[in-house]
Amino acid sequence: MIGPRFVDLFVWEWRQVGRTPLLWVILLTLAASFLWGAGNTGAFHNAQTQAQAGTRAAEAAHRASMERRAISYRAPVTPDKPKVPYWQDPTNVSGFSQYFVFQHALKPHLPLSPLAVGISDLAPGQFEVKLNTGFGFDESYDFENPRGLALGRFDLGFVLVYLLPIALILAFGLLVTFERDRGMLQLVAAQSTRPQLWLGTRMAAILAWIAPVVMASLLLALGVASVSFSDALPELLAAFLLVGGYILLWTGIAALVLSRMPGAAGALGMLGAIWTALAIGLPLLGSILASSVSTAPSGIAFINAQRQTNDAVQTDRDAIVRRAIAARPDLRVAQGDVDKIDHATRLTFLVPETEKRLSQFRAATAAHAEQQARIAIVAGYLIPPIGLQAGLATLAGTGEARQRQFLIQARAYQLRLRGILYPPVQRQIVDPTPDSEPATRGRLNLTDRNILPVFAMTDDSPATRTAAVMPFAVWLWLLGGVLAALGIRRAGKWPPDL
Amino acid sequence: MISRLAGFELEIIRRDSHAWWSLLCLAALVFLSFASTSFDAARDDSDKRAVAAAERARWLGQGTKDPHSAAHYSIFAFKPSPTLSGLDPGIGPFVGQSVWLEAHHQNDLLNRPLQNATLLQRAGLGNPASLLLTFAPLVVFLLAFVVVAQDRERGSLRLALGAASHPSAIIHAKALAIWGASTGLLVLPAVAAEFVLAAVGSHLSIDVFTRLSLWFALMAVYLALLSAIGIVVALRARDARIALAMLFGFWIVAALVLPRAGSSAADTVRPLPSSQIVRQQMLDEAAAYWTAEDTALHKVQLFTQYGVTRTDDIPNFRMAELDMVERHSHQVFDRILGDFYEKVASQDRLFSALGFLSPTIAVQSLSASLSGSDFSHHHDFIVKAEGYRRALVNRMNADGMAHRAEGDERHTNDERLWAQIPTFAYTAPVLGSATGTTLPALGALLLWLVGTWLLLSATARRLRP
Amino acid sequence: MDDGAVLVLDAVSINFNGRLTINNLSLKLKPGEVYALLGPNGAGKTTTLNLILGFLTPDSGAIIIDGVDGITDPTGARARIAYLPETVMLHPALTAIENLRYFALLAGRKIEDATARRLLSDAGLQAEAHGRRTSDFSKGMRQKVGVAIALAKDARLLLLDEPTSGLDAGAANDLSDMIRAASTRGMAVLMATHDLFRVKNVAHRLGILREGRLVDERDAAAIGPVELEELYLEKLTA
Repeated sequence: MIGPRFVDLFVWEWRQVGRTPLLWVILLTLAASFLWGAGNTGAFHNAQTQAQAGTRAAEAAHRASMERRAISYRAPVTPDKPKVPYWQDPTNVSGFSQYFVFQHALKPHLPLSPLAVGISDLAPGQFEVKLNTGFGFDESYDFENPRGLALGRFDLGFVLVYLLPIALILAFGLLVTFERDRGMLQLVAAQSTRPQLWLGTRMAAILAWIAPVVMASLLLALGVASVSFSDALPELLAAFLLVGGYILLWTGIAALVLSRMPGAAGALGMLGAIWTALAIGLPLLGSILASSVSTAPSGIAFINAQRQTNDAVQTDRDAIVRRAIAARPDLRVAQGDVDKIDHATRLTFLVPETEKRLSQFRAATAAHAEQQARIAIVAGYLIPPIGLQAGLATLAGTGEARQRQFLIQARAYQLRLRGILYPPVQRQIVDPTPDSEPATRGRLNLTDRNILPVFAMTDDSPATRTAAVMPFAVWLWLLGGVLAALGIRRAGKWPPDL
Repeated sequence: MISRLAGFELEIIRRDSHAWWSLLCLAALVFLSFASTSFDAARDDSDKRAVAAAERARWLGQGTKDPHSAAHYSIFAFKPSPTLSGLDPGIGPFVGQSVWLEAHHQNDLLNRPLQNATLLQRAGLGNPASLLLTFAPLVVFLLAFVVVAQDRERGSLRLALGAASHPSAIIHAKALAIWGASTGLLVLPAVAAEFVLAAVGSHLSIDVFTRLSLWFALMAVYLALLSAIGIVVALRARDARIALAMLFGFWIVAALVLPRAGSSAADTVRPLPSSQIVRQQMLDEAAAYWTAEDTALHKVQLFTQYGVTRTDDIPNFRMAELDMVERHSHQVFDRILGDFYEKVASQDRLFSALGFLSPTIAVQSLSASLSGSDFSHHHDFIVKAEGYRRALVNRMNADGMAHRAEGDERHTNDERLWAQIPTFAYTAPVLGSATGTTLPALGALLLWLVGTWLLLSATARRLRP
Repeated sequence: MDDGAVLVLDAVSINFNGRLTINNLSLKLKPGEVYALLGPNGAGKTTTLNLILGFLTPDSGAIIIDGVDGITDPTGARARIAYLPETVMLHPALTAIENLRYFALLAGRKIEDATARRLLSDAGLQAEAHGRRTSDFSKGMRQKVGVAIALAKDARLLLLDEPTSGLDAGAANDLSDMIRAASTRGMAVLMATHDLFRVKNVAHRLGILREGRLVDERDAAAIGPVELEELYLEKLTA
């Protein structure tokens, strides 16, 4: 046999690498970052969950207050306590529909949410769903210090996507180039070891320390952030698969660079440049390119369109209501009474008309968002840090796709509420509930106000979420494997300038 | 002599392909991001101006109506791009750009440019300031490594020190070369382009010029202290490898980890109440729709205020009630939102104080402040827009109160009243008037500068062939 | 072609940037033979060693080491070569024994501590230094560990690159003794050096290399120290 066996050399290298203080500095720093990142995101999401609980409590308080008033408005009118205007009267079905519906769509966090903050710091996780707001809900957001949004949160996703590669770069870049920088490589090469074996065992030994420690630290960090492993097992396994693939990818990149046996300066310089290109250069160019492919419809222009449309609808409001009533066999008899219809009831006709007139703007915005999402998916494969970020966010339930589902479901919820309230409101036009005798303070044409369902988000199953990231995980493993193989293959000869 | 030596060092940098191309690549990215950011800002501003003009026309042309209805109709106000947004858009992409100034509500600013951004758009959010802050250290350290650590490793530094009559001049020349190359290529082109854009766009005021000059100086100082750190480490480390590891480590900690970690820590140490709590508090204390019981209470209060016992004794009871409720809401908003925004400022002050840990944080805070793109400047817009809203609503209510109307009767007015409300024209605060939160950063940066300069001088003095 | 020779260089040429660095170099070393390759800086001595080690591939010619083709099977050829560079650099965090075991492992040999101690002692390193980290070893001490590494390989050919450069007289003498001992054990030794004085004492044959060409070759025993110096200067200035 010529030269050492892989196993013998690997065992030696593994022991020696494990004795290197630098490796432990890197690994401990990384583990601490995992803990801080997961804890940070966990606390942030807990605060959001508490805010959602506060919303539910506010809804309950609102209902209680409304019921108290509804009971008191059953009282007969007196000089001191006159009839209540319809917009202050929860027993009036039209007043209720416009001024008393206080329902929210909430997006709960998933068990693995500390894995990545995703877009949960930017995109709203709750909306007040009013009956007559166009397209579901007003644009709103939970205020986060925008400085933090601009800088990005220090979350586990950031550590995994950006700091983990740097840790790998440092470990490979410094531990593999030691002999080269110290002038020992010639003596190493003069033994009967092939460069592929030497490089391969050294890198494998480093990897054999880093990969398990990273996985264990990840698990520990998620545990400390109170993730219930049993509730998130498929997603957790998929996350490990993604992180494993990402480690392999950077190992492959490092192998390609180190195959020419550069010194630390050359290795770190080249790997740093690759990291910079993948972390910011390509996303910056990709983002500019994506924007130029499809310019986002201007939100400012939408305001203009909205104002113009609202003005037009207001100017035309009687005609619109009349047309709408005429088109409805059940309401047609009330065509001549349009002037008597209150504002809230009018809105049940005007709001759908406004939405119809603005639908092209809305469709353009939605089409742009979908196109950008498709571009982002492709970009994820071309720029792995972006893909990993998206994959982790998908598993954590903080990704864009889940947010889109939330928005769609919130809109569907609004339509469901309209489906419940619009018919009784409109029925009052042709078939008004007789006034009470003696006259009561309230209109009393809505006796049961507990008729609105609570929004409950329907989520994809864990298996679906896991399946969504699998193609990218496979891509990472393939890419990493191919790069590593190419790197090792490229190290076929010791460099001539030893 | 130093400048001539620096010329040689510059030539060494230019001939080192890794260092030179790294510098050029970053310079290209900085300039590209400047062009992209400036283009976006110009397009957005153009949209805002057009819609603001349409809003004004709508306001004036809303016809004859009850002034309170006019206050509800009201207008949208748009936040113009900050002064130097091409160089540092700061929090711009993450804060609302428009606000509806309607009666009863102090609405949030909406239309955040990145509200619906994909992760690609967010990750690709490069701008000159963020690129300089994050990646200039890496490039500057690479230059320091090339002209100092490698020079030392090869032994040529020793030779040069032996030949020089003033060894410290060599070090100062190296520092000058690194600083000159990085400032000249990374900062100067974008600043010059911003200057030209401002001049061509006719908004090159003294304030803008001062801000631009100070921003250039800030980045130059940042690069200078990075150059000093790079050189000191390269000279003091045991060998080039250790120098490289230390510089790489410094970059990771100071430019990558600490800004994010510091920002998260500042927000955790001084947490904000949730928006849900704030909104609910405002809703509870100053509801836009009040109850019949509230109306009864308002009546009592108005009778006391006017010293009357009948609603008919108040010229326009409805408008008086609306005005009273409106003015009450101002106090509530000032208290609740005032506290809230003070907490935001407090977070920013704490973050800016973390500049003592990392010069990147100090420069980040100062850059956004000089560019007019930090939260203090944004808050100024919120305050001024709200001031405009209150003046508008108060004027409408005052007109209503000045005209008697009883029962369901409504006083109306027309363009003559609407025209009395001036066009909303936002003037950004002049330099120094919205910089309170960044004072700790300024102190930190000065300390870093003095500290690194002393360290460099001490290291240069200690040098022996 | 090799007729029992440990090293055969046959008409080897290599050029860098259009300049022939080694020009038609032929050389043959028998077992136990010590050959000194003399020449000024840039003559091609180190390039010759790198060609033998397989780090460089010649443009033409053949290199056979103990019957193995050094061009087509450089790893197999290196298994038969022990090499001592001009400056032996070791892992500073490892002890002398650990360094020796590591390099032996790279050569495909697993050796125990006792064997390592024996080899280090054979190479002249004092016993108290065996278990010490090599970070504070002098050049001479590192050179001795390098010799031990060479011995551990039990190779057929020993290559030495400026072996006495930077060593004090004592260390240089120890090295000469080691070379003689290696030769006695049947190892062929090729040393590239400037050190005319010491060469005379240990080498059997001398070759003078100039601009990549072997311009003279002598039996060491047939030439006195003064003649050698005169010959060397003459060949370099001719």
